[in-house]
Amino acid sequence: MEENQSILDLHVDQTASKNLSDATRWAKFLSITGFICMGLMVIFFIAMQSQITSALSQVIPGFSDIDSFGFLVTVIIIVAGIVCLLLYFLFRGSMLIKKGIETKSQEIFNNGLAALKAYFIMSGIIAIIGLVSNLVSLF
Amino acid sequence: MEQQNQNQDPGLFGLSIDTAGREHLIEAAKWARFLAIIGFVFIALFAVFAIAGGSFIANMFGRANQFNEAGAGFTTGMTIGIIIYYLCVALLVFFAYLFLYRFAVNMRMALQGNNQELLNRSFQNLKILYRYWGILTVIGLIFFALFFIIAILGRASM
Repeated sequence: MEENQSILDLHVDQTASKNLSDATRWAKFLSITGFICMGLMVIFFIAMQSQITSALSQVIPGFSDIDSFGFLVTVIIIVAGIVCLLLYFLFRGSMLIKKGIETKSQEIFNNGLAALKAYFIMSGIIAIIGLVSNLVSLF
Repeated sequence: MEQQNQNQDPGLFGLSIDTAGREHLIEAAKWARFLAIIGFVFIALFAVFAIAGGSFIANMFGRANQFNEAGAGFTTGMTIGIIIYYLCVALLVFFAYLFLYRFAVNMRMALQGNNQELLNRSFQNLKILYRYWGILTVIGLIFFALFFIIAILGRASM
Protein backbone atom coordinates (compact mmCIF):
# COMPACT_ATOMS: atom_id res chain seq x y z
CA MET A 1 0.00 0.00 0.00
CA GLU A 2 2.71 2.44 1.07
CA GLU A 3 4.65 2.10 -2.19
CA ASN A 4 1.67 3.42 -4.17
CA GLN A 5 2.27 6.89 -2.74
CA SER A 6 3.60 9.44 -5.19
CA ILE A 7 4.11 13.22 -5.22
CA LEU A 8 1.21 13.55 -7.68
CA ASP A 9 -1.22 11.85 -5.27
CA LEU A 10 -3.74 13.84 -3.28
CA HIS A 11 -2.67 14.12 0.32
CA VAL A 12 -4.40 14.08 3.66
CA ASP A 13 -2.93 17.36 4.83
CA GLN A 14 -3.56 19.12 8.16
CA THR A 15 -6.89 20.61 7.03
CA ALA A 16 -8.14 17.29 5.68
CA SER A 17 -7.03 15.31 8.73
CA LYS A 18 -8.67 17.84 11.08
CA ASN A 19 -11.93 17.68 9.10
CA LEU A 20 -11.79 13.88 8.98
CA SER A 21 -11.04 13.63 12.72
CA ASP A 22 -14.08 15.82 13.52
CA ALA A 23 -16.24 13.85 11.08
CA THR A 24 -15.20 10.52 12.61
CA ARG A 25 -15.92 11.80 16.14
CA TRP A 26 -19.50 12.69 15.19
CA ALA A 27 -19.93 9.53 13.10
CA LYS A 28 -18.82 7.44 16.10
CA PHE A 29 -21.32 9.26 18.32
CA LEU A 30 -24.11 8.71 15.78
CA SER A 31 -23.35 5.02 15.37
CA ILE A 32 -23.18 4.36 19.13
CA THR A 33 -26.45 6.29 19.66
CA GLY A 34 -27.99 4.22 16.86
CA PHE A 35 -26.85 0.92 18.43
CA ILE A 36 -28.34 1.96 21.80
CA CYS A 37 -31.64 3.08 20.19
CA MET A 38 -31.96 -0.19 18.24
CA GLY A 39 -31.29 -2.21 21.41
CA LEU A 40 -33.82 -0.17 23.39
CA MET A 41 -36.41 -0.56 20.62
CA VAL A 42 -36.14 -4.36 20.64
CA ILE A 43 -36.23 -4.48 24.48
CA PHE A 44 -39.24 -2.14 24.50
CA PHE A 45 -41.16 -4.34 22.05
CA ILE A 46 -40.47 -7.48 24.04
CA ALA A 47 -41.19 -5.85 27.41
CA MET A 48 -44.46 -4.23 26.26
CA GLN A 49 -45.67 -7.43 24.56
CA SER A 50 -49.13 -7.57 26.23
CA GLN A 51 -49.93 -3.85 25.71
CA ILE A 52 -48.83 -3.88 22.06
CA THR A 53 -50.77 -7.10 21.37
CA SER A 54 -53.99 -5.70 22.92
CA ALA A 55 -53.60 -2.37 21.08
CA LEU A 56 -52.97 -4.03 17.71
CA SER A 57 -55.73 -6.63 18.17
CA GLN A 58 -58.25 -3.77 18.21
CA VAL A 59 -56.93 -2.46 14.88
CA ILE A 60 -56.06 -5.75 13.15
CA PRO A 61 -58.60 -8.58 13.68
CA GLY A 62 -56.99 -11.88 14.68
CA PHE A 63 -53.81 -10.29 16.02
CA SER A 64 -54.42 -11.51 19.57
CA ASP A 65 -52.54 -14.79 19.22
CA ILE A 66 -48.92 -15.10 20.26
CA ASP A 67 -47.77 -16.12 16.72
CA SER A 68 -48.71 -12.72 15.30
CA PHE A 69 -46.67 -10.96 17.97
CA GLY A 70 -43.79 -13.37 17.36
CA PHE A 71 -43.90 -12.45 13.66
CA LEU A 72 -43.90 -8.72 14.52
CA VAL A 73 -40.92 -9.14 16.87
CA THR A 74 -39.07 -11.14 14.19
CA VAL A 75 -39.64 -8.32 11.66
CA ILE A 76 -38.46 -5.74 14.20
CA ILE A 77 -35.34 -7.78 15.02
CA ILE A 78 -34.53 -8.14 11.29
CA VAL A 79 -34.96 -4.37 10.72
CA ALA A 80 -32.84 -3.62 13.82
CA GLY A 81 -30.20 -6.07 12.55
CA ILE A 82 -30.03 -4.36 9.13
CA VAL A 83 -29.77 -0.91 10.75
CA CYS A 84 -27.10 -2.20 13.16
CA LEU A 85 -25.08 -3.61 10.22
CA LEU A 86 -25.29 -0.22 8.50
CA LEU A 87 -24.21 1.52 11.72
CA TYR A 88 -21.40 -1.02 12.15
CA PHE A 89 -19.90 0.07 8.82
CA LEU A 90 -20.12 3.70 9.93
CA PHE A 91 -18.56 2.85 13.30
CA ARG A 92 -15.80 0.75 11.75
CA GLY A 93 -15.10 3.44 9.14
CA SER A 94 -14.87 6.18 11.74
CA MET A 95 -12.62 4.13 14.05
CA LEU A 96 -10.24 3.04 11.29
CA ILE A 97 -9.99 6.47 9.64
CA LYS A 98 -9.24 8.06 13.02
CA LYS A 99 -6.68 5.38 13.87
CA GLY A 100 -5.14 5.68 10.41
CA ILE A 101 -4.72 9.45 10.83
CA GLU A 102 -3.29 9.08 14.35
CA THR A 103 -0.80 6.35 13.45
CA LYS A 104 -0.24 7.65 9.89
CA SER A 105 -0.92 4.14 8.62
CA GLN A 106 -1.97 4.12 4.97
CA GLU A 107 -3.39 0.59 5.20
CA ILE A 108 -5.61 1.32 8.21
CA PHE A 109 -6.73 4.58 6.61
CA ASN A 110 -7.67 2.78 3.38
CA ASN A 111 -9.57 0.13 5.35
CA GLY A 112 -11.50 2.98 6.97
CA LEU A 113 -12.33 4.42 3.55
CA ALA A 114 -13.46 0.94 2.44
CA ALA A 115 -15.83 0.74 5.44
CA LEU A 116 -17.15 4.21 4.62
CA LYS A 117 -17.72 3.07 1.03
CA ALA A 118 -19.59 -0.02 2.32
CA TYR A 119 -21.73 2.27 4.49
CA PHE A 120 -22.70 4.43 1.51
CA ILE A 121 -23.35 1.39 -0.73
CA MET A 122 -25.59 -0.21 1.89
CA SER A 123 -27.44 3.09 2.43
CA GLY A 124 -27.93 3.32 -1.33
CA ILE A 125 -29.27 -0.24 -1.60
CA ILE A 126 -31.69 0.42 1.30
CA ALA A 127 -32.79 3.63 -0.48
CA ILE A 128 -33.41 1.68 -3.72
CA ILE A 129 -35.45 -0.93 -1.83
CA GLY A 130 -37.43 1.87 -0.13
CA LEU A 131 -37.99 3.61 -3.45
CA VAL A 132 -39.17 0.42 -5.19
CA SER A 133 -41.48 -0.55 -2.30
CA ASN A 134 -43.00 2.95 -2.32
CA LEU A 135 -43.57 2.81 -6.08
CA VAL A 136 -45.09 -0.68 -5.79
CA SER A 137 -47.46 0.50 -3.04
CA LEU A 138 -48.52 3.45 -5.22
CA PHE A 139 -49.62 1.31 -8.19
CA MET B 1 -0.26 32.86 4.01
CA GLU B 2 2.36 30.95 5.96
CA GLN B 3 -0.37 29.14 7.83
CA GLN B 4 -2.10 28.31 4.55
CA ASN B 5 1.11 26.87 3.16
CA GLN B 6 1.55 24.88 6.35
CA ASN B 7 -2.04 23.57 6.05
CA GLN B 8 -1.49 22.49 2.48
CA ASP B 9 1.83 20.85 3.23
CA PRO B 10 1.26 17.20 2.38
CA GLY B 11 4.11 15.95 4.50
CA LEU B 12 6.53 13.69 2.67
CA PHE B 13 5.62 10.62 4.72
CA GLY B 14 2.04 11.60 5.52
CA LEU B 15 -1.15 9.87 4.41
CA SER B 16 -2.17 10.14 0.80
CA ILE B 17 -5.10 9.16 -1.37
CA ASP B 18 -3.44 6.25 -3.15
CA THR B 19 -4.95 3.97 -5.81
CA ALA B 20 -6.90 1.84 -3.30
CA GLY B 21 -8.15 4.86 -1.36
CA ARG B 22 -9.08 6.61 -4.59
CA GLU B 23 -11.21 3.64 -5.70
CA HIS B 24 -13.00 3.54 -2.33
CA LEU B 25 -13.66 7.29 -2.43
CA ILE B 26 -14.90 7.24 -6.05
CA GLU B 27 -17.39 4.51 -5.19
CA ALA B 28 -18.43 6.22 -1.93
CA ALA B 29 -18.94 9.54 -3.77
CA LYS B 30 -21.02 7.85 -6.47
CA TRP B 31 -23.39 6.28 -3.94
CA ALA B 32 -23.46 9.44 -1.81
CA ARG B 33 -24.51 11.49 -4.87
CA PHE B 34 -27.22 8.95 -5.68
CA LEU B 35 -28.47 9.07 -2.06
CA ALA B 36 -28.48 12.87 -2.08
CA ILE B 37 -30.48 13.06 -5.34
CA ILE B 38 -33.04 10.53 -4.03
CA GLY B 39 -33.18 12.56 -0.81
CA PHE B 40 -33.86 15.80 -2.73
CA VAL B 41 -36.69 14.13 -4.70
CA PHE B 42 -38.27 12.75 -1.51
CA ILE B 43 -37.99 16.13 0.25
CA ALA B 44 -39.68 17.85 -2.70
CA LEU B 45 -42.49 15.26 -2.65
CA PHE B 46 -42.77 15.59 1.15
CA ALA B 47 -43.09 19.40 0.86
CA VAL B 48 -45.72 19.11 -1.90
CA PHE B 49 -47.72 16.58 0.13
CA ALA B 50 -47.41 18.76 3.25
CA ILE B 51 -48.88 21.77 1.41
CA ALA B 52 -51.53 19.73 -0.47
CA GLY B 53 -52.45 17.73 2.64
CA GLY B 54 -52.63 20.92 4.71
CA SER B 55 -55.01 22.53 2.21
CA PHE B 56 -57.14 19.37 2.22
CA ILE B 57 -57.30 19.38 6.05
CA ALA B 58 -58.13 23.11 6.05
CA ASN B 59 -61.01 22.50 3.58
CA MET B 60 -62.29 19.53 5.55
CA PHE B 61 -62.29 21.30 8.90
CA GLY B 62 -63.55 24.52 7.31
CA ARG B 63 -66.64 22.55 6.26
CA ALA B 64 -66.83 21.04 9.75
CA ASN B 65 -66.79 24.56 11.22
CA GLN B 66 -69.54 25.65 8.83
CA PHE B 67 -71.91 22.83 9.80
CA ASN B 68 -70.73 22.67 13.42
CA GLU B 69 -69.61 19.05 13.02
CA ALA B 70 -66.92 17.10 14.85
CA GLY B 71 -63.53 18.79 14.49
CA ALA B 72 -65.11 22.24 14.37
CA GLY B 73 -62.48 23.61 16.78
CA PHE B 74 -59.74 23.06 14.20
CA THR B 75 -58.83 26.49 12.88
CA THR B 76 -57.04 27.58 9.72
CA GLY B 77 -54.24 28.86 11.95
CA MET B 78 -53.66 25.35 13.25
CA THR B 79 -53.56 23.99 9.69
CA ILE B 80 -51.00 26.62 8.69
CA GLY B 81 -49.02 25.68 11.81
CA ILE B 82 -48.97 22.02 10.75
CA ILE B 83 -47.89 22.96 7.20
CA ILE B 84 -45.09 25.19 8.54
CA TYR B 85 -43.98 22.40 10.91
CA TYR B 86 -43.71 19.87 8.05
CA LEU B 87 -41.95 22.41 5.81
CA CYS B 88 -39.43 23.08 8.61
CA VAL B 89 -38.79 19.32 8.90
CA ALA B 90 -38.29 19.19 5.10
CA LEU B 91 -35.87 22.14 5.28
CA LEU B 92 -33.86 20.54 8.11
CA VAL B 93 -33.47 17.30 6.14
CA PHE B 94 -32.75 19.23 2.93
CA PHE B 95 -29.59 20.75 4.46
CA ALA B 96 -28.31 17.29 5.42
CA TYR B 97 -28.71 16.08 1.83
CA LEU B 98 -27.13 19.28 0.55
CA PHE B 99 -23.98 18.59 2.59
CA LEU B 100 -23.98 14.99 1.35
CA TYR B 101 -24.32 16.19 -2.25
CA ARG B 102 -21.50 18.70 -1.82
CA PHE B 103 -19.28 15.98 -0.31
CA ALA B 104 -19.97 13.71 -3.29
CA VAL B 105 -19.58 16.32 -6.03
CA ASN B 106 -16.43 17.89 -4.57
CA MET B 107 -14.91 14.46 -4.02
CA ARG B 108 -15.56 13.39 -7.61
CA MET B 109 -14.12 16.64 -8.98
CA ALA B 110 -11.12 16.46 -6.63
CA LEU B 111 -10.29 12.92 -7.71
CA GLN B 112 -10.80 13.68 -11.40
CA GLY B 113 -8.69 16.83 -11.36
CA ASN B 114 -6.24 15.86 -8.58
CA ASN B 115 -7.34 19.02 -6.76
CA GLN B 116 -6.26 19.22 -3.12
CA GLU B 117 -8.53 22.18 -2.32
CA LEU B 118 -11.64 20.36 -3.54
CA LEU B 119 -10.63 17.27 -1.58
CA ASN B 120 -10.39 19.36 1.59
CA ARG B 121 -13.74 20.98 0.82
CA SER B 122 -15.27 17.54 0.33
CA PHE B 123 -14.00 16.29 3.70
CA GLN B 124 -15.20 19.54 5.26
CA ASN B 125 -18.72 18.84 3.96
CA LEU B 126 -18.52 15.30 5.33
CA LYS B 127 -17.60 16.77 8.72
CA ILE B 128 -20.48 19.27 8.55
CA LEU B 129 -22.87 16.48 7.52
CA TYR B 130 -22.06 14.28 10.52
CA ARG B 131 -21.92 17.23 12.91
CA TYR B 132 -25.32 18.36 11.65
CA TRP B 133 -26.88 14.90 12.16
CA GLY B 134 -25.11 14.68 15.53
CA ILE B 135 -26.55 17.99 16.74
CA LEU B 136 -30.04 17.04 15.48
CA THR B 137 -29.71 13.70 17.30
CA VAL B 138 -28.70 15.45 20.55
CA ILE B 139 -31.69 17.82 20.24
CA GLY B 140 -33.97 14.83 19.52
CA LEU B 141 -32.64 12.94 22.54
CA ILE B 142 -33.18 16.00 24.78
CA PHE B 143 -36.80 16.29 23.58
CA PHE B 144 -37.31 12.56 24.10
CA ALA B 145 -35.89 12.75 27.65
CA LEU B 146 -38.11 15.78 28.45
CA PHE B 147 -41.18 13.97 27.07
CA PHE B 148 -40.29 10.89 29.14
CA ILE B 149 -39.86 12.93 32.35
CA ILE B 150 -43.13 14.82 31.76
CA ALA B 151 -44.95 11.52 31.12
CA ILE B 152 -43.59 10.01 34.35
CA LEU B 153 -44.44 13.16 36.37
CA GLY B 154 -47.93 13.23 34.80
CA ARG B 155 -48.56 9.62 35.72
CA ALA B 156 -47.22 10.15 39.27
CA SER B 157 -49.50 13.15 39.84
CA MET B 158 -52.64 11.23 38.72
